[in-house]
Amino acid sequence: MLFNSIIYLLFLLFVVITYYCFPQRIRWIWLLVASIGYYISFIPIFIALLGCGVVINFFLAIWLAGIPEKKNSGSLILIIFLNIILLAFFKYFNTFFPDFHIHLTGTGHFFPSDPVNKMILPLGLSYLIFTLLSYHIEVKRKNIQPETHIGYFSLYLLFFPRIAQGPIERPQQLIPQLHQIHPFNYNLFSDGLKQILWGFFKKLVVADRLAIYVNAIYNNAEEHNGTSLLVATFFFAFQIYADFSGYTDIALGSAKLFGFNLTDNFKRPYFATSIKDFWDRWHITLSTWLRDYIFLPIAYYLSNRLKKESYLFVSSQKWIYLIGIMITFTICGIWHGVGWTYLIWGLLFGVYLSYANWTKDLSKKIRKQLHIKKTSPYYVFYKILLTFILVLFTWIFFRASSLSQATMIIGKIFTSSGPVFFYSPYDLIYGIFGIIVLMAAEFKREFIPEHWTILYNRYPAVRIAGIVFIVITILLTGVFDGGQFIYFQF
Amino acid sequence: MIKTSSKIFFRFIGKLLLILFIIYIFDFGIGKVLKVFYLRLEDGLYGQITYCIESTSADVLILGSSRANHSYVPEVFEEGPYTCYNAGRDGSFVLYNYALFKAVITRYTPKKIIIDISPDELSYSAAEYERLSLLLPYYQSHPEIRDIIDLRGPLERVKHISSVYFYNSLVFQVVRGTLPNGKVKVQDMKGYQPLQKKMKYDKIDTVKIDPGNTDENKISALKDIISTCHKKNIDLVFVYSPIWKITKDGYCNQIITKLCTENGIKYIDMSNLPDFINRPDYFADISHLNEEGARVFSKMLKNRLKQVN
Repeated sequence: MLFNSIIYLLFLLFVVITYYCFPQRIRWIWLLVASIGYYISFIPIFIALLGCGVVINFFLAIWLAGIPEKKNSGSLILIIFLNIILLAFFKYFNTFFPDFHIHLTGTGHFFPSDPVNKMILPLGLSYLIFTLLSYHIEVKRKNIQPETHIGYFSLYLLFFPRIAQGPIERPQQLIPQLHQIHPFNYNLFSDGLKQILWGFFKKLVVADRLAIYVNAIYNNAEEHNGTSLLVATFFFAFQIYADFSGYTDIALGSAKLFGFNLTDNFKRPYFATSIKDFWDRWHITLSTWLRDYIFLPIAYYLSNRLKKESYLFVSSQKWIYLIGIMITFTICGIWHGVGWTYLIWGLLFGVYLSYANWTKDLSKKIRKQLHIKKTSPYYVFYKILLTFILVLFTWIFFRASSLSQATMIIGKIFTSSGPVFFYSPYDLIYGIFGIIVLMAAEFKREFIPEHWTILYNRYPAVRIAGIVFIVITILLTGVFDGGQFIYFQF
Repeated sequence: MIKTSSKIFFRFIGKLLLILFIIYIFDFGIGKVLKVFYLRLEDGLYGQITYCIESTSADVLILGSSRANHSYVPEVFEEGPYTCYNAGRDGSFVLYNYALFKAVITRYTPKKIIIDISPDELSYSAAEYERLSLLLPYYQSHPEIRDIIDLRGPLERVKHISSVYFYNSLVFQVVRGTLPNGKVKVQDMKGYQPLQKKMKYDKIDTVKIDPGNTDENKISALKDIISTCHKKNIDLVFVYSPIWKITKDGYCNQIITKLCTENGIKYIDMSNLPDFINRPDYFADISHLNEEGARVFSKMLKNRLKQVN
């Protein structure tokens, strides 16, 4: 039951109506039942695995909370190890042990890449494990008390709008909401519907449309020239953004229909003025997770052990940043998948960020000497463009099927020009149309948030016109035979 | 508090219904406008489909995929008062042709129908079901093809609440089609689209077609075409046109041969003719004849048809 399907809309409608018919104190039960039903609609057998994981982690957190803070590090490491082992087994087992095939038949529809030789990853397991680790770490740090109601705890982990692709919710954000009552909230409900609509626009009009061209080029990269590969990479940048942020909008919108606020994962990332800014806007719940639970602990650990002096003419602070960020983005790459392409994708961001950190003073000096104001629109535009190009380069590794294909594509982009390939010019026209509408909306929200408001305009006629435009555009230009969301595989 | 909450809820439902009504009105209106302009398209793929479904009265009708579209030269088959139209279409196999057949048969009865066969014609292909969307603009006006379009998915009918959906992914084509342009109208080419390039490849591929994924819907469609042709006294011929590859385990061939034998239908296999097997210059690529090859093939087929008649 993919979010971009009619079945999901019917399911959501049914669950929402029924939800508000139940007395408030038992609505959580209905949400939990619906969440389990939603998960079962994909690969039923894995609900047993998730169920066991939830129950075991529920008791482990209570056990962890009972241990004094100074003595609970070992217990936390054990819990982390158990959860990581589970994730690693499903994610990496077949890669590292190709001769031991363990597979479930009849599930290839959702994971068509190589269902025979690839272990089927239970849907949302990566997100579930990261949510659980965050929960245990917060319990260990005594920032929260462990949840003692197994029903609420299960719903925190299995809540259907976020189970497949996140957001990776911190316990402080979602668990208190589960304890509150949620009467029908007009504004939140209306906001949720608008967000779902916009999510559908992103997924059907932009992402799935661009996917047609991107797949045609990348699946036969050897046959195409550098110009077509560059256009396909450019399209992929918007495809993956529209795909993932479209999913997130549908997830957040769906949660709002029940009165819940989830954390947004995106904040117009292609208007970022630096790579650091990009990661403050892209997959926010993952990047803050990595920052709080990997980068900062490493930086803290190293800063307690390294003397505050220079090593090889570079301050210890910069070395600490370099080591911390490279480890963090290596994990980020590996989390996305096995293979050199994901690893290099992660490492490239590590290199970008380290370079920016090491040359911060130098670039400040250059800017001062050239009398460039930080707020100058030309400078801001230059920074946005530079950041976009750097990110675009990383997407080649993310999309390529192998390292050799990625290097071949990069080589071709720089050496082989020619006309842009298209089977039908309309593939390009519809794709560009989607990008223009998406980026126009993002531009408005980024630079002139108070003006030209459409869906939240004070005049109902403008709001309704905006809704009608989006619905008709989806029906006219959306791809209704598109596939699953890209981040489902992670 | 409960009263206030339910008041708010009903106020919301009222507004939601109003918005849905406004959407419906716009959807209906835009759908009607698009229909008018769509049916005026006279060139390209959509003009070709409209012409075949709504206008052609050709005596000889050619159905099939891109292999049909690029291999059968209508003027070669036109003799005396006989007219011919090539309704072959890129990437469209049995189900699409079945819909076209049903739409045409409802309007008039051709004298002869030639159906071109591809090696994996009867295999299941999700893409082929998706391609039935080409026929969506005719869904409302042609009830005879609705069952076939509905095969796209169990909830396909739900989407038909929208009038605009029938023209999904067509709006820019419709806009362009209404602008003056120098394209040749489909009537002038009689559906045929020649390929000019010559294949440089000279190694003959041997391909194995997996017989395990035969699509039962397609076999049922073929059976219905055969029985309708019998009833309407239409001369039906299946043809396997030349191809630059040798297919192993030709299960499709076997099924069609069996169907034809059982029903007394002509089946002409010209896939590996010696005249073509050593002539890469007759091909545009491994699956398609170029114009030169298409003319040679069309003449040979015409002679074969005369012999078998």
